[in-house]
Amino acid sequence: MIAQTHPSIIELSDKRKKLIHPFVECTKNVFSMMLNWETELIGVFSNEKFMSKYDCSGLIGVSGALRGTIVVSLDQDVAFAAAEAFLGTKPLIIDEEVVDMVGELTNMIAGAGKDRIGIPGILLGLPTVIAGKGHSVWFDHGAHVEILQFSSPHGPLTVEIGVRGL
Amino acid sequence: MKVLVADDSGIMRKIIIRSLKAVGVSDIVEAANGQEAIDAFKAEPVDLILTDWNMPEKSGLDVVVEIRAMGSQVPIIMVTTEAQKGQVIAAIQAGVNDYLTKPFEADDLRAKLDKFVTV
Repeated sequence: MIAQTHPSIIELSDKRKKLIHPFVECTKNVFSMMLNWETELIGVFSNEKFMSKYDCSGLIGVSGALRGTIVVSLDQDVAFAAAEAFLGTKPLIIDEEVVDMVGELTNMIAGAGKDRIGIPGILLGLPTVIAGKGHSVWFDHGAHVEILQFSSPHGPLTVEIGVRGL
Repeated sequence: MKVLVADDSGIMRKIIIRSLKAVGVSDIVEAANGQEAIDAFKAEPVDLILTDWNMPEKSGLDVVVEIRAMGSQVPIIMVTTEAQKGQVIAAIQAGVNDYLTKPFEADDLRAKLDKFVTV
């Protein structure tokens, strides 16, 4: 299924609510608390196996009670603006500090989101970051995938959760 | 006052260090993983430790356990995304003095530092 649905009109199954609601809430919290940015959920995709990504993606492996991957993908302008907010200077390229910042944002979103799912025993790995235009991330075959698309004051971003065992 | 900041994220260390400097702390040691934190502490004891939980080499919890096993009572603040009740209890049982969950606002971190920083 490749239907995009606006979150205000979507009728969510309990399974989808279990993943979507925690990650919407924690994504908004992370950007609000750490960067003082307001983010808005503008779209939800379900069960996409493949999707083009923005310029910089943080990935965290999920194991234990759920198994899969959580991906936070930022447009370059978003990544640069976030790095400027954290560091005080705007980077000109995706450098080590931008990569580190994307990894830490991913860590915070994934960590807070998994605690809100309400399933004990979910474990997270350490973040890995991929940078470069046009890259893609493929989730495990059979994983339940939710792709949450947000707007921010500096551009778009997505939070993607692809897990088995839900 | 000397403070050890352990986090595998350089950005997070900078955020914490910025807050430490704002409360007057300038003698700061950085560690990018748990083993570096233990090595730094063994090399020169500090007056306060802020440590992440999930780090390469050794976790922040390992750091707490090892430092308490050395007999040190240095105050330790865990700064982490791990927020489940069982984990907070495990950290406190291991010897953590205070706990701050990520994400946090600058005022949250400042309030924790105000409890332990004496300059």
